[in-house]
Amino acid sequence: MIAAYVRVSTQRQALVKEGSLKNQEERIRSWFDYYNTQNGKSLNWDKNVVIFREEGKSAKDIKQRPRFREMLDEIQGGRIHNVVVASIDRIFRNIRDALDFITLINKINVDFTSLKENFDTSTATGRAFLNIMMVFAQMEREQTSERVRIGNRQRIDRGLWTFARVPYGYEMDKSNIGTLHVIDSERAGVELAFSKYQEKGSIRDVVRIMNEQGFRTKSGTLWKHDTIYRLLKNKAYIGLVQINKKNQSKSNDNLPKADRYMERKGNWEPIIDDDLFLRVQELLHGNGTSKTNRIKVNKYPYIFQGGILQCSHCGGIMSGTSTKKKSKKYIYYYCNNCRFQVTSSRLEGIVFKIISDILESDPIIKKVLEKVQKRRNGINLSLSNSYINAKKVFSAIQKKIEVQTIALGNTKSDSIIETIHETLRDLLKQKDHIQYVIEDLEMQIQSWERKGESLQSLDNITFYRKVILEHMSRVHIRQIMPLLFSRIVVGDNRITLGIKGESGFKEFDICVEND
Amino acid sequence: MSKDGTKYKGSIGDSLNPLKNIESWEISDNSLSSSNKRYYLQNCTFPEIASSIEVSLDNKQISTLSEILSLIIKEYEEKI
Repeated sequence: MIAAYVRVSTQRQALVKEGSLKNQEERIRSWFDYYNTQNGKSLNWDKNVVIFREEGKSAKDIKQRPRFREMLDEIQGGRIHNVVVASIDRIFRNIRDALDFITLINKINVDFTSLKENFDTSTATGRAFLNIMMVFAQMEREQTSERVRIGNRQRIDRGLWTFARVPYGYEMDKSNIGTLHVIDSERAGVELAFSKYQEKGSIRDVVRIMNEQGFRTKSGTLWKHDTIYRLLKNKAYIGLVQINKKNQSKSNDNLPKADRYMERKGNWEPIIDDDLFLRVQELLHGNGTSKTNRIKVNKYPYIFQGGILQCSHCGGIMSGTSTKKKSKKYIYYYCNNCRFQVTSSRLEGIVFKIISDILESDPIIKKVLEKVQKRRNGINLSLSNSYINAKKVFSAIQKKIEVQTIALGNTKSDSIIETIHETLRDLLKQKDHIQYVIEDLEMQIQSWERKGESLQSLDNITFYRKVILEHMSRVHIRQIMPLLFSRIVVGDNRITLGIKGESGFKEFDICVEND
Repeated sequence: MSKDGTKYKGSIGDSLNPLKNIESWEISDNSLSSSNKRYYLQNCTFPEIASSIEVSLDNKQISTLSEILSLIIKEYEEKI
């Protein structure tokens, strides 16, 4: 039996009618006819030739080629006496694989014929020639790969996106290849993923939220743990492009230039700011090394989350936790790295004081009240629209009642009278209901109008400042912490507040003592 | 004390609304004494920290902050 091995490396090549697979088969068939004539044989193509078609498989690794492995089984089973390929690069790109194969077939007396190179392995010259061909095939492959890597490196040096897959949140500028544009709908997804991971510290939670809120990956599939993880790790979102990430931790001295890790500023708009990205990376790192692989989710609302709290001893991220003794819960923060810990009361007082100071700022409170006013106006508008619609419905019902009443006076048929009575009963019920709705809407509108009066007056500013102070919960504080502080570094008796301002990073030192 | 009756030790002020009693603390421009802690500001004053934060906030952050604070008012008004 003759084995004809044909292979193309992409599915696209395989699907093209006049593509390489068909050509390879035709060339082998021509050889087969010639072989029959030359050797005076009358072999039948359908009976004596088995074709092993490998579609969309690279020659790089024989483990990834199931048909090749099938052919090997057949050879080892003694059912094949000749292996024919159109070209040597259809079957091998690797000297070691080729030599293993040739050694095997020589051992069991199987011939190997490559049409393009015109040789067979039944002679010593043929075997030597095969080895030389393999060396060149591998060299060509390595050179091509090197050229591609150098080209990619040069493009990255110019800040261009050089990879086939564009990150979620962006699209490739078709007229300017290498430049990415933000897709607004996907930007929301990226921002949500980062902010939720910062808040929850759990990829699983982020996956759930993203899927629940209807976000889908570029390929339209649901988000999974690994897709979210890759998204959170992708520096493209802070406007950077990287190459050779797998060599990031390796020393450049030991690597060829084309394989060295490189990071450059990309030609696109970042979606995530550096601070948030850094906090998320720290959290990912912390979670990756913690035993639970996630931040402990407790009922107690820890106000320092998202990597904002750092240990002064080792720079590690601190997380909130608690212990319970005799129905009392003790709250503290501990360093994920060196286990240094402080009670929450040591940290919280100073933060609460600063937040109350921020609330003294008239511009901020005025901005808050503008939002409140806007919301009320929106509610008022919505109430007014509902009121107008309800009135319209009321008039329509009233009109129907009048029509039915006139119809009642014009008929003597008992059955029609009965039907009209039934309709009237329904209409009166509807009229009562809509009347109730109208009255309720009138009351709501009056109530909102009273609340909306002079919201920006001095009395109101003082009043609402007090409302915020008295009703601000730990959850609210946790939400506003990342807005106020870049980081808070905690030591034994010292707290350093880091604030990132327009003129750079500012730090304020505070000493803490027990009373 | 939390809603479920658990006493939280180590947390400061009212567990649910911690800023509620802040006016009862002893406060100067560079020190603060709460129920069991004393803080001394070393190279600054409280007004300086607050104004630094105010300056650091960009429009987006101010908008986020005011949104959170306005929701506190909304929650309050829905309760009354």
